[in-house]
Amino acid sequence: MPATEVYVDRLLGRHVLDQSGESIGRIEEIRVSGKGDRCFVDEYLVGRYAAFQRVAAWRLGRSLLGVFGRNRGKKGYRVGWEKIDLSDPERPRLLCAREELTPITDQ
Amino acid sequence: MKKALQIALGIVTSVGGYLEIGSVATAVQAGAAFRFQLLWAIALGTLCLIFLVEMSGRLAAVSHHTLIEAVRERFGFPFFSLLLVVVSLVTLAVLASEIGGVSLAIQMATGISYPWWAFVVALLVWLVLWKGTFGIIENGVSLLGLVTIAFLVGAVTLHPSWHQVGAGFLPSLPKDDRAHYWFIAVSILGACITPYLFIFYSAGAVEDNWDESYLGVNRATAALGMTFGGLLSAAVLIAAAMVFPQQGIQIDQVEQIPLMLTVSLGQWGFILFVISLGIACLGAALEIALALAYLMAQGFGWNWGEDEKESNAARFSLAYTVAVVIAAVPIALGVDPLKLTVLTMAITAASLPFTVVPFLFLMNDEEYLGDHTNGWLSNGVVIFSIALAFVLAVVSIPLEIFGS
Amino acid sequence: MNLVREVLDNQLRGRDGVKMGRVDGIVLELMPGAPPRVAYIEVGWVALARRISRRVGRWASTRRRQEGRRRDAYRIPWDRINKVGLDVVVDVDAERSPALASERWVRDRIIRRIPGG
Repeated sequence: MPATEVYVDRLLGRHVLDQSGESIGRIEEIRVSGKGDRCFVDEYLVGRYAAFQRVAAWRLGRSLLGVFGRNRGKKGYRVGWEKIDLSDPERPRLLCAREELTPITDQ
Repeated sequence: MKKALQIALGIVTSVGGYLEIGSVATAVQAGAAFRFQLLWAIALGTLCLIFLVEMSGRLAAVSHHTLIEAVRERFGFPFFSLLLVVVSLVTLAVLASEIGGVSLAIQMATGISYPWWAFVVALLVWLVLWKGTFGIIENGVSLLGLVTIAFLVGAVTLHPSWHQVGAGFLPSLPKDDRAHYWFIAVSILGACITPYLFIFYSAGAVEDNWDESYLGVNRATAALGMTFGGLLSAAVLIAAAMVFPQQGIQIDQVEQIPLMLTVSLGQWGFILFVISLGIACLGAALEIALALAYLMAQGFGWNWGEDEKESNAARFSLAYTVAVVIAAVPIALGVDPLKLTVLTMAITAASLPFTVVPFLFLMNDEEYLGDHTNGWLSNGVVIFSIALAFVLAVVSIPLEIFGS
Repeated sequence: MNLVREVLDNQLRGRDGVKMGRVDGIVLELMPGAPPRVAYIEVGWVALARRISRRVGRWASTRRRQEGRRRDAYRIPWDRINKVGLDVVVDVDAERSPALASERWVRDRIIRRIPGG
């Protein structure tokens, strides 16, 4: 079976839908690691905190979220590569329950 | 010793390069219409500029990235393309204003009206960029620009009441014509805080191979250079305030503007005014054309550098060439340079969030700046000034254009 | 490594250090049952157009096919990347690569024809 190609820029900003069809947040970053000459995806960072982490405005962003009272609830998740179905890159779907995901925490 | 020399040179060049058509036209309008009442706007704009210039130098010295490069890398192409369109349009309009300024100066000297000079000036700007090096543009032209100190002499010899001048630094509202008052205030802020300045400054710091040892030089140059520069703007305003309302005229006739120096300095005042205006606008036009080329080249990853041989940075050289030609067109078609300038400066103020907000994010990014990220004072001053400029611009531009 | 933060949009240099554009796009390859593989980085205006919107991207892609090009953008396989740091350095001769085609065109057709260029 031939490999399908997906553009990273097309994945960015897409809502990831859980099994009930509800969004858990947008894809903001893709973590990869190299094995020899090849390089593979490890996990996707999803959600608002991931976006702030990407532009490295961690402190600035968190205090802004705090000001607008949106600091509670969904902040963001690290999602392993095997837990997202990318067969339709426009609609990435979560393959496990949301509760099984690792939340992104402050460090 | 070497550092002290660098600081001195840096200050001299920022003073010589400070005045341009934007700061002159807005200060003249402010002085003529509202006496000393708008001096606070120059002070606020200059304060904000000090912080922004210091920040762009610090970013370049610590991260070896220019502002534009860092914006594309951190915020991605979609955001960058938006910034590219907004900043290019605004900056092209500013470039047109400067070409108009040089053309006006030549008109005053020769009596031949300014549209005829637009492409002559464009050719001159292009020749200096084509043949010159970064050092020539940064130092040479700015040294010539020291002639603009004439405005300071002019203002002092008019013996303004220093008590009233001091009062102008505290904001106060005029009795009538408030819409116009705020519009001019916004134009002054836009003229002080033009994005081309920090695009140019951070690219310059990279062209000059700055590293962390330059942080002190950077701070001193930004603080002192911009303060003295702002003083020149204030001098233009004071001279205009002293001369124009007393003679009971409005500034719509270009020929009347040199009066601000001729009243106290006579024939020499006229010559100094024409030379100051011409050199100041020429220097600014060079920096702005380069800033536009930096914007394109750094955003798209082309090879760039004013010291590169043209054929080694072909698209970069093409970019400033095209910019200069486009900007000359409206002036050649007879658009009034002064009206264009004041409107352009107000629109610049409205566009500031596009450049300054991402800039603030970058300045708080430890990956770029390590231990040298912004403190609360820098963040606070910049956020306050930009928010104020933006709100005032959005409110006052429509009022000015459609009348109240 | 963070693909978006550290690679996408970063300055691209050839093996001799010559600037050859920016990383305009990244292509992943999906295989059933295996982690997605980072296959190529892309340089070119069609890759950029795609990022502004799908419609602009499709229009740009059609234009480029009409010019007789097989691919939307110049692709550099991931294994040709020598270093990812401040800049992304690839094992490619920049001066001859398609990434600098427009630079060469402007240089030869315009800049060299102007005296002093």
